[in-house]
Amino acid sequence: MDQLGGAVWTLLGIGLCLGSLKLKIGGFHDPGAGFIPFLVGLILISLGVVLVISNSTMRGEPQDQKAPNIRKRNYFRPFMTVILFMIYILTSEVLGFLLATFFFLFSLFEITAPRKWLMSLLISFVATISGYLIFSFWLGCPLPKGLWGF
Amino acid sequence: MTGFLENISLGYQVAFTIQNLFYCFIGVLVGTLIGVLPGIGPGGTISLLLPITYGISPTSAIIMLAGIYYGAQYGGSTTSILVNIPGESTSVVTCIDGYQMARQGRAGPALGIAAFGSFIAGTIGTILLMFIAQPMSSFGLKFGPPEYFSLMILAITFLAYFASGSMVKALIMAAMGIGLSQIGIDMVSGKSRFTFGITSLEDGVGLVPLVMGLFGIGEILTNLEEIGNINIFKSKIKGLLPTLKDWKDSIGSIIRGSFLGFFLGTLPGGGAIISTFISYTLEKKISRHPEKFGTGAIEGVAGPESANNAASTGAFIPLFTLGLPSNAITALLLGALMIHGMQPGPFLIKKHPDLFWGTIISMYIGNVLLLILNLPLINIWIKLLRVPYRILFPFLLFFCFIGSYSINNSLFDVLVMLLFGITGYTLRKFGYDLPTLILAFVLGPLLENSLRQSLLISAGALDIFFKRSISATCLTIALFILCFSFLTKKRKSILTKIGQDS
Repeated sequence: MDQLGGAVWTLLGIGLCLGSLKLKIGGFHDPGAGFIPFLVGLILISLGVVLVISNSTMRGEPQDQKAPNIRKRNYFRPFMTVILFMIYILTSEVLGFLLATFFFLFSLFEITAPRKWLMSLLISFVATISGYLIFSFWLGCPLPKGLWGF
Repeated sequence: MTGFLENISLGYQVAFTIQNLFYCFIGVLVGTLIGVLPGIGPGGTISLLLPITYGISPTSAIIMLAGIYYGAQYGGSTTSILVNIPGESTSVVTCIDGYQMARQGRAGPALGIAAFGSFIAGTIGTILLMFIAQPMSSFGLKFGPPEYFSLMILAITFLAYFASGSMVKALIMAAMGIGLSQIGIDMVSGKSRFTFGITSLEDGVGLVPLVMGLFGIGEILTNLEEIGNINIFKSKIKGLLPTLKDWKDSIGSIIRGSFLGFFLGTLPGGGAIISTFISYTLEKKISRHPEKFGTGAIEGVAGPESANNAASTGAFIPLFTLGLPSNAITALLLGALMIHGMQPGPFLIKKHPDLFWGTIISMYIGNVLLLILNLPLINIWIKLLRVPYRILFPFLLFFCFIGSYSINNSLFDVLVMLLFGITGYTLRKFGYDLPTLILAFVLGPLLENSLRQSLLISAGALDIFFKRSISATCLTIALFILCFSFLTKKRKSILTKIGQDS
């Protein structure tokens, strides 16, 4: 996996170098806007190559990897959380802070404790209202307004 | 001496205003809270609270943010001792003997000595800071652009060296941090760099969305993979005051840990975590009963807990005297100072004595408050530990949303935060060290400026970095570390040895 990582960093480094060339690198006498990004790109390429080479020569001897985790991991929860957060961002200026936050919190509670929906409903409701009062009224934080103005 | 006393008096006047006492209290309270709760650290919290500090004075802001930093070191030990899960990375070593003490029914003395040790270390650290900072900032006046450039290179190299896992990966993170800091308009030429036509990126990537994403969201996503019920002690914790024998056993460890932690904390690259490991190894080496370590030796709690607190105070030396952060958290504090229009560097103490001396005195107050918060109120924190993570994490996400949205009233910042959250989660999974990225990101613009200025001074000659003694020393040390660490086996064996000894 580190080999793939090394390849990604190398490609990113190449992209950075190419982008810097368009910006004008300049020289040591007169470093331009692309000077530092170009150097960073070169460093990334070198380190990426080192990562690829060091892992291909150490095959069979995994380095820097923790002992295999015997506990079962749940990838569904982080994945769903990202999706819900994305929906929250996209809908908060349409539905407004109150509705979007309520749906967001409720769906998150449902992912981790699906059978306690009444409790999730209650906590989400109280949290949304308290959050609105604290941040909007007390602290004066600007919050996204939806089509209905709240 | 008169000047010194005048400064102390000024510090008292600043720190004892109702407003600053309030912010100090809020800082240490939040610090303890996030120290106790696994899953959110001081980095994420400070970035979350940064927007709130825009409306208050810079002194109050730094007092509060510093309180979060050293307060988290206090709180971190609670979970290490009670549930064998370190609240902070600096409390990992405390688990070894702290948890064993708790299993033997001595959770009270373990928590007590951790709090007293932290208090003594915090106080010693603050006194040392008071005496060392001023001469250090006079020394800092000798620093020109080449010296700053070399010192920043040294700081990044140190942090990468002490990073968990591979040094190559840590250096990649450093390069990424500098690379990300290049996004936005170049101050010299006025050209847009890597903005891809997105107007919101012209001011660069925001520090808050970046840190909140990498530390906050990334950590939450990682924790979501494993939500389990943690077993904590159901009974009330009693007997928090260590006995006379406990004191006799641990006072030496506390003093040694305090000095060791403070000096390692001042190093560029920061040494809070490493100081806890070294303190533990040291205590075990000089103990008359090394076999007791790992089975509930109180010295194994007292030494590292003192070291991590003193290190967090020591980290303020390079920040206040040279304007250089030594770790990711002080990098955020530097960000906070710059947001408030202050120019950190050797002149900071002279130009803003109220900020420096006010913060120092507030640290004394903060340490007393932390002792009160962490001893008589320990049972409240334990109750908080019982709040299931499945209830907690939606709120953390909600705060992250509000925190990043409120900076510019823009959903773009929230989107950037989420993007960095996913990046942080992925990088964490593959063993990349994120604090190095943050430090490099904050230092990036300063690094670029000092490099450009140095080259301008020398008319393009690179030997300017080797002709000046301070700069040459820093670069030589950095080069030595790099060469040494690429002999991977050597580096590994040292770190493994410390780990095994611990």
